[in-house]
Amino acid sequence: MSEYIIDVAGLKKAFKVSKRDEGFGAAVKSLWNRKYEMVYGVDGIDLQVRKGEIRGLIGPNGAGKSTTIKILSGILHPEEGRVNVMGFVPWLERQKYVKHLGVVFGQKSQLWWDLPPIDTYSLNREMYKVPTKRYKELVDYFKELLQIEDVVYKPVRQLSLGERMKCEFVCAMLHEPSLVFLDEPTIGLDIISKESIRKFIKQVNRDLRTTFILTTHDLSDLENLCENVTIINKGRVVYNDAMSQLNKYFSQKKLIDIQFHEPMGKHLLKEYTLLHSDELTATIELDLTEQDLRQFVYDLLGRLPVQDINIRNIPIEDVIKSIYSA
Amino acid sequence: MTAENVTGLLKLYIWNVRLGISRSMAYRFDFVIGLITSVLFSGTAPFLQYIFFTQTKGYPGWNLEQILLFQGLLLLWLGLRQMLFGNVLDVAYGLVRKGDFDRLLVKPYPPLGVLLCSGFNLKGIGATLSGCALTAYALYGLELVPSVGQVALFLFSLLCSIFFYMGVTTLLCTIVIMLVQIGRVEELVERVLGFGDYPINIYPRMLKQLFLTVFPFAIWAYVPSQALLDRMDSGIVTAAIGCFAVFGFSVWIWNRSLNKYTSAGG
Repeated sequence: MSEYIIDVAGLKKAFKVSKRDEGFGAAVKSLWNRKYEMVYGVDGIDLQVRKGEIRGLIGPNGAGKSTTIKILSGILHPEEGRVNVMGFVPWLERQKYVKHLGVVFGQKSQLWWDLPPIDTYSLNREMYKVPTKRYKELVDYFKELLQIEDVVYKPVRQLSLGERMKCEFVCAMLHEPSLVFLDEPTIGLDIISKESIRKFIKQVNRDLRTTFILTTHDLSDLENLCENVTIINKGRVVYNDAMSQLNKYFSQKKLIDIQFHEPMGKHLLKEYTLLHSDELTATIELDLTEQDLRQFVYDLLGRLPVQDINIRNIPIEDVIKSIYSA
Repeated sequence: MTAENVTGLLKLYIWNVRLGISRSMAYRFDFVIGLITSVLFSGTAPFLQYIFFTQTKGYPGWNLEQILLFQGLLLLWLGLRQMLFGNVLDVAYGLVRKGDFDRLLVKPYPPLGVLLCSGFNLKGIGATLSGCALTAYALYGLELVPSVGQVALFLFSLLCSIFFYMGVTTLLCTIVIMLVQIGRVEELVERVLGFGDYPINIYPRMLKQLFLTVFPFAIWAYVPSQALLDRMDSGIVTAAIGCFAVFGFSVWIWNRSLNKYTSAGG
């Protein structure tokens, strides 16, 4: 059996998109003469995920993340490519395959709005044919883990967003899926709820060996949860490696934050690569392939009225932004 | 679709009914008022038909008691269909508008089955109860005691009606899912379905044939009332074939459309 729970090669999916010119005349003309063009949402993606991983899948809006997830969930059929998820071809064996799949959408709910979550859980128990004894064990386990003992008995409409998201997670996990897709699971949550959700994901990953694929725009989710990250842009994989490697992406560059003890004229800083400056502070980018750090700092302290100095790596946000815009 | 799927979907439907009733009861005032108004208003249509029948020459071949039976069965069917599938289109609209249709595709059942299973609507209870009462009253007035065969025919026509209505609903859902906005198509379909609200022998011969074959609206009230009045002819056979054919065709169209489904961006 393959070591990978997800094994994708050469995945392509095209969409037929209608186009029309500007204005009312063009709108009328488009009634009988509509132009279309084929756009590749996914254009040759290769992806392997090991069982038990928590993999981050990120990219700018329209990059092809959702299309990839939808193909992996069996919702969409690709034009080309080979997909094997847990031994299934998702879109061909959808009904059998989804019994092993869980999905959490951060902005959508599968709970019945007017009823307590526990009622939706019962419906899911029936849908996935979870034995009653196991169902009770799991509900107790999840309730304790997420500290929602009382929450599951209140109508969903009376729950806070954080409580509702916790209940959504339970709903997606009751049939013990081997693979769970999480689509922005912490969107809109406060820091405490985010922490609680992340703890839950880590614990379930450890206890049940569940594989999670996490799409998010919140980089702290990635930093807290994912060992590996795949970045998709323009329908292609542009980065596929460990999170720790992202930190090394610009290891030859440093950012130096300086605080001056008297106002500084900009002309005194013009020889540096300035990312930001005002009268009393500045941030300089330093390329280590061109200059030695120790010498640079020594010169800086000698030339300028420096009160405080901080040397740091390029932030992960900037690394990702740079990859997105490449 | 396998037998396991059908059993699973029936159980799922029952669960949806339980949750649907629980949800209705969560708003107690609305629940009680809803039930009362549903029962009261369901009597309006038969009453109008009664006035229409007694103040005009009525329908050829039908006396007052017989038309009351027809009205009772029609009311019973309208109530049942609202109870069984009254929510389906609303659910389909909701799923499509919120971009949630994908959620149906990650359930371990055929998506059409899951959609139809979500159709229970308690508002139909009033018409169903009134229909039962009116049918019983009409049978009493006619001094009719249906035989086992007549009851079997009645139940069979009910089953055919359910399949036919599932077919119509499936076609509408397909349009909703593919086009998102169906505008007045639903209204048009409702109007056309209204042909089944009258005994079909009042229509010209060609329409009558049409309503017993391709568009078998006759199966809803006309066929079962004929069965209970012991006036059944071969119409039930063609109508039944029509009902299952419409359902089969709608499932075929649904599956074809689903294969072309492209989801929404996101």
